[in-house]
Amino acid sequence: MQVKHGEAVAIVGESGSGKTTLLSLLAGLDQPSAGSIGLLGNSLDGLDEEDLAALRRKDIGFVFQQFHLVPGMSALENVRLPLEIAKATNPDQTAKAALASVGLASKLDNKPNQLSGGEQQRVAIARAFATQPKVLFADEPTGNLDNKTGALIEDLLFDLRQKHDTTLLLITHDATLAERCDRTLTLVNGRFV
Amino acid sequence: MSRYWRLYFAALLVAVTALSTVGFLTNRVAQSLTLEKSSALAADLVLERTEAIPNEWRERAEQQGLRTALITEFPSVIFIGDDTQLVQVKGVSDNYPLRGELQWRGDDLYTQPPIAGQVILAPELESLVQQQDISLGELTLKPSGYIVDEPDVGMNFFRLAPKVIAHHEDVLNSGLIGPASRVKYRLLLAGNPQQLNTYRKTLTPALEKNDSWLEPTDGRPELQTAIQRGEKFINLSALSASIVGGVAIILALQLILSESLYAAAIFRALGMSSQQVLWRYLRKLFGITLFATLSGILIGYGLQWSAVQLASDWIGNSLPAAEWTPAIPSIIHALILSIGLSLPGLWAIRSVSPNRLLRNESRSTNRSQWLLGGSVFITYALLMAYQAEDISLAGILLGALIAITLGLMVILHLFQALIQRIKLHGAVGFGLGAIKRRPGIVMVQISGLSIALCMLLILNYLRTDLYQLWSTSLPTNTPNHFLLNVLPTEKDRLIEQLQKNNIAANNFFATTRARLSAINGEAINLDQFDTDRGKRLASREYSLGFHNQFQNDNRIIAGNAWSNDQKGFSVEQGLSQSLKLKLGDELTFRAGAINVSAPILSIRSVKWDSFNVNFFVQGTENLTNEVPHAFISSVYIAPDKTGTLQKLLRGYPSVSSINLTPLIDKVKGVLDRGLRAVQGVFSFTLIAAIVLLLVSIETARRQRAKEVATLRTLGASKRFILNATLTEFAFIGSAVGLLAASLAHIAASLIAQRLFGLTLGIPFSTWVISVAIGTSLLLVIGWLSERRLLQQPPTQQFRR
Repeated sequence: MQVKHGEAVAIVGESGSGKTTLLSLLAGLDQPSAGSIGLLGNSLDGLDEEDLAALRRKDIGFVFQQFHLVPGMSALENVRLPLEIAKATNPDQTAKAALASVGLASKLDNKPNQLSGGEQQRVAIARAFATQPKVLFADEPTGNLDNKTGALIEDLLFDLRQKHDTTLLLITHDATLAERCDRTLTLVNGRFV
Repeated sequence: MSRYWRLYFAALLVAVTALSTVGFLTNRVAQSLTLEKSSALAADLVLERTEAIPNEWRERAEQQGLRTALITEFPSVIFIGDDTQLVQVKGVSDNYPLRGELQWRGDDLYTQPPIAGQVILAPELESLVQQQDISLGELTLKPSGYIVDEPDVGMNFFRLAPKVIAHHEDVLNSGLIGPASRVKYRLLLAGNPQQLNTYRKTLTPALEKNDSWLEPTDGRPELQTAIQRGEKFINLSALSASIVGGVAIILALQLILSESLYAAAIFRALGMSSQQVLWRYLRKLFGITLFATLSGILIGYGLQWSAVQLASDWIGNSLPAAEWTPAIPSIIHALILSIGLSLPGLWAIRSVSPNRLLRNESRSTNRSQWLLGGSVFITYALLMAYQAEDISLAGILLGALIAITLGLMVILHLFQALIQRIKLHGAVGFGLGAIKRRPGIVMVQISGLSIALCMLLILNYLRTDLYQLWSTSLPTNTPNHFLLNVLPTEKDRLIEQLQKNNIAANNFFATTRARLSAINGEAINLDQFDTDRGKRLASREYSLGFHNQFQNDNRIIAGNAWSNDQKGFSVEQGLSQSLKLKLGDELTFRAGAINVSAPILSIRSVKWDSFNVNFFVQGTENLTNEVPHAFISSVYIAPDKTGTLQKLLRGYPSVSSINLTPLIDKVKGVLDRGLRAVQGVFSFTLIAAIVLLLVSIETARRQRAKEVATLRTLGASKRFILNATLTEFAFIGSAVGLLAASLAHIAASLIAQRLFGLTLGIPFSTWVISVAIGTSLLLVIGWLSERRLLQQPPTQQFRR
């Protein structure tokens, strides 16, 4: 499997086919038991956990089905978090701009439990794009949302991807979302078909 | 069983195990202390009268399964060659003593009572007797040895002329007992409390007015103080173990509540009625509670058994077997804890609205948390009142709990505002942000752990400092001999001779034996006193002391010091309470045929374990001439000067000296046993604290695991995550240390002063030690738990 710079690839397959495992292997969140993975010119095989963290910090963004915002932290704090980890300059301003770009400029201080599902996912997208990653991994980003909100999130995701020239790898069950990608890979029992 | 129910089970199991182990152990030690108390009487219960004990009474006691012994005691004179000596004759039956040990030295050290034909003497008679035969009435006996330790020596301490102990039959046959003899007959009884109670109840109607029951608490007041302190230590330790264990249960229940509310909402959504949902959890709660409680009791029984086996040289392997009765408080304790603490949660589960909960999990939880907080206090108030059997102890500890919670709420609120204002970033900012992200959990962690650490600090200081304080309160020159029966004509000469021999004597108090005959002109009627103790104290004979100054250890609680022209009495605090006496009451004492009356001018506390000459009732000096009296004083005799004192006293045939060293050693022994028990119990509080620590870490584990996974996904380095975690734990640890030290300072001094009557100075270094312990412990735990999280792939943590 190979993904080019700027390409949008959808990975589809039934539950348990290995989609999320593949994504976590590609992002260096898990170690493969066999085979090798290269990301942005680096072989992940030779990288230790700290190097992988550095790679994620600099070049990779994530959007999850369950949002995975830090509870108890405001929307602004959640978006500022990766910027602080990356020691970015002006994290506050960058985070505010990222939230404004997803239409949440008025909800900076709201905590996750004070936001709707769609709003939480928008915060997650703002967080993912705040560091301007080269690759974005999205695990069923609309899986938890209604059709209308899902469509809004899709638009947002693809607009920002285009704007930041980001390579996108997304897992989805949604055929419409998969169709918006450049190509679709189908996984069955851990193998592409 | 889900993870959180397993945690609840573990927390309850540990709490009940700690409680029941403590319960069984303290039961054994308490039984042992009771035996110690009983040894001061040489029995569990004594019937004392001036008429011979009817044989039928003794036989009846034996038929009821009690062990018995007889004592006959009276003052008399013995002849040693041409000399005469005033002595206290004591005849004892074969199985004397029933409790404690009689020791005497002949050609060897013996513990059996003298058999017919044998007589043993007080050691001060040794220089006088010098192997000569003594004549005791019609009997001529060869001394078999000298008394080393007599368990019930204290029963009539002050009127003790040198003791002569012979076999009971010999004493009865000596011809010394006549109608005018001042003989006391005692029936000694030993057995279980139920048997003793039954016997006492059935015999009491047959008793005459002057017959009285003596219980173990009627022993020497010096010994009583030590025993009471020992009991209070143990009580406090048991309570602290239960509090620490209880906090672990609270945390576990908190976890269950957070999990169950969500699940309950699903059940409701699936159509279950609120009763069905409630019943589902109640069944589970009761089932697990019962299983944990019974398991805890069994483990506790096994543990105390092994603890005693392992530490036999420490606790003493002569402890009586544990009774099963301590299991009952453990069961009640566990039920109160589980029901009291889980009711608000169950109520929240019962009334949960599926819609609201599924949309917003935290709101219902917050309200339940408040309810839970309120119920914690009510539950603990009930538990403490039940367990402490001491209102002031329960009050102090409950006050400490309330202070912790309120203080912590204010501190955390201020701290939140502070970090909001400072806007800390990076790992430190994220770490300290935990206070904002999970204030409830942080508060519960800090309060729970500071209670545990506070308890450990308090126990530690009480354990070590009280013993030191008590030891230093007995300086090396503590009086170790009493000089009794010094005649007024001999007093000045004796003082002069003592000075010549460099023996420092304390004040000489005039003293006489007297009985309280009237209060405010009304003759004593025993029915006017509510308690047995009151009745007993009103009917007993007192040693009245006369001196215008009090011993240094006395403290006037009400009234004033005396001026020279005043006439009156000062009454010991405990006696004034038992006899309902107050300032100004006119007391009339009858000494022989003479009545002496005067008002109460003051009420004072007496430190009985100072070993000074002290009196329950002390009169002004100008009352002295109204009654026949002798003098009493106490002296310190260095071990190498005992012979000097004996030689000196030969010129004073009426004067007796009593060596207090065995009694001092006995008091020290009782206190030491109490302290050893506390040390054993202390280790259970420590175990409970460790479990609490683990459970408290678990409370935030799920949230922390998700946070770590998120941070790692966002590219945070291990160092960033570790720094954030360690900052959070260092904050919690230092807050725990500071709070625990502050509370320990307040609570320990309150406990020391109010419960043990001692001033306890906790060193300033406690703050440093407490913060160091709190911080380092939390840092280690934080590092260990985080290391585990860092080893797992983030996706695994997300999926949980």
